[in-house]
Amino acid sequence: MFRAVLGWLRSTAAYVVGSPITLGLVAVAGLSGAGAGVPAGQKLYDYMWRDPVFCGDCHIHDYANIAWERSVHAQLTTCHDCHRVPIRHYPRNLVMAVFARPHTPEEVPSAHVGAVLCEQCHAVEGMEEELTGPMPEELRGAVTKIDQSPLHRVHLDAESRTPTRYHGGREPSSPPEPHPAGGHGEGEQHAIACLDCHGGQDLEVHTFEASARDCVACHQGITPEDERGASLSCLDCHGRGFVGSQPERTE
Amino acid sequence: MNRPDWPRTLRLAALAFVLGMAATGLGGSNLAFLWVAYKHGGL
Repeated sequence: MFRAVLGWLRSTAAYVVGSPITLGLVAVAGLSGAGAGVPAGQKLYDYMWRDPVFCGDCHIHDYANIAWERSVHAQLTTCHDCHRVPIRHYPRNLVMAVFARPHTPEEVPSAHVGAVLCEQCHAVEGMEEELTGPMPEELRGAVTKIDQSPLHRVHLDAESRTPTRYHGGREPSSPPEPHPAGGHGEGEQHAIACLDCHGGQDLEVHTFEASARDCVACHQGITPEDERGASLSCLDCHGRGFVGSQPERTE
Repeated sequence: MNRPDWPRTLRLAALAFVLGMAATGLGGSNLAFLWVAYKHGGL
C-alpha cells in the first residue's frame, strides 16, 4: 500500500514537472483552493477560539454554562478570556471527548482561574498585562476598574484571610479555605482572591455578583440591623465603598 | 515539452484545489488556534 502510494507520488511528480501547463494549472488550482478555504478556516478558528460551544463539547457542567449565560460576562467574554489553559489540554480533551466522554460534571476537572485574569480587565494594575485572550483591547479599556475603590483596596491589600475582631473576625478559628479556582498570577501574594467573593463555589460558579452571604463567610456575627430591628444587607451601607471607576485613557 | 494528458491534468488540478482548501481551512485554522492558545496558556 505504502509502496503503491509512493510510486504514484513519484510518477505524478515527474509528470507534473515535465509538463509546464500541468504544473501551472495545478499551482493555480492549489492557490485557488487555499483562497477558497480561508472563509471556512476563519469560521473554524472562531469556533475554537471564541465559541463556548467548542468548550462545552467536553465541559458538560450545565450549571456553570447556564450561570455564565446569565452573568454579565455573557456576550462580552468567552471561555478563553478567563480560562488560561496550556495547549496540551486540547489534544488530551479531544481524545477524552472521543474515547472517554465525561457524563457528569464531577468527571470534568476543576478549572484554574488566576486572579491576574480578573485584574487584566477589572483593575488599573492589570492593564499592563498583555491581553492574550480573544477579548478586544477596546472592550477591556471600557470595563470599570475596581482596584482604586476603598473597600476593594482593603481586601486586595489584606495580609490575612481573617478580618480583625472588630470586623467580625473570629480569631483564632480559621477562616474559610481559599476558593479552589481562585489562584493568583505568578508572583502575586494576595491573601484574598477575587473568586473568594465573586466566584462562588461548586454550583454557584460563574455567579460573579458578590452578596452579603460572601461577606459573612469571613465577617461573622455582625449581621447588621436598622434602628427598627429590620435586617440589612452588608452592601446596603458598604456597597459604595466597592464601586469602581472608569479610568482615563492613557494612550 | 510533453503534451499534457488532459484528463489526468484536470484530476490533479481538482486534487490540488481540494488539498489547498483543506490546508487553509483545516490546517491553517488549527495552526492559528494552537498559536494563540499557546501565547495565552503556554505549553
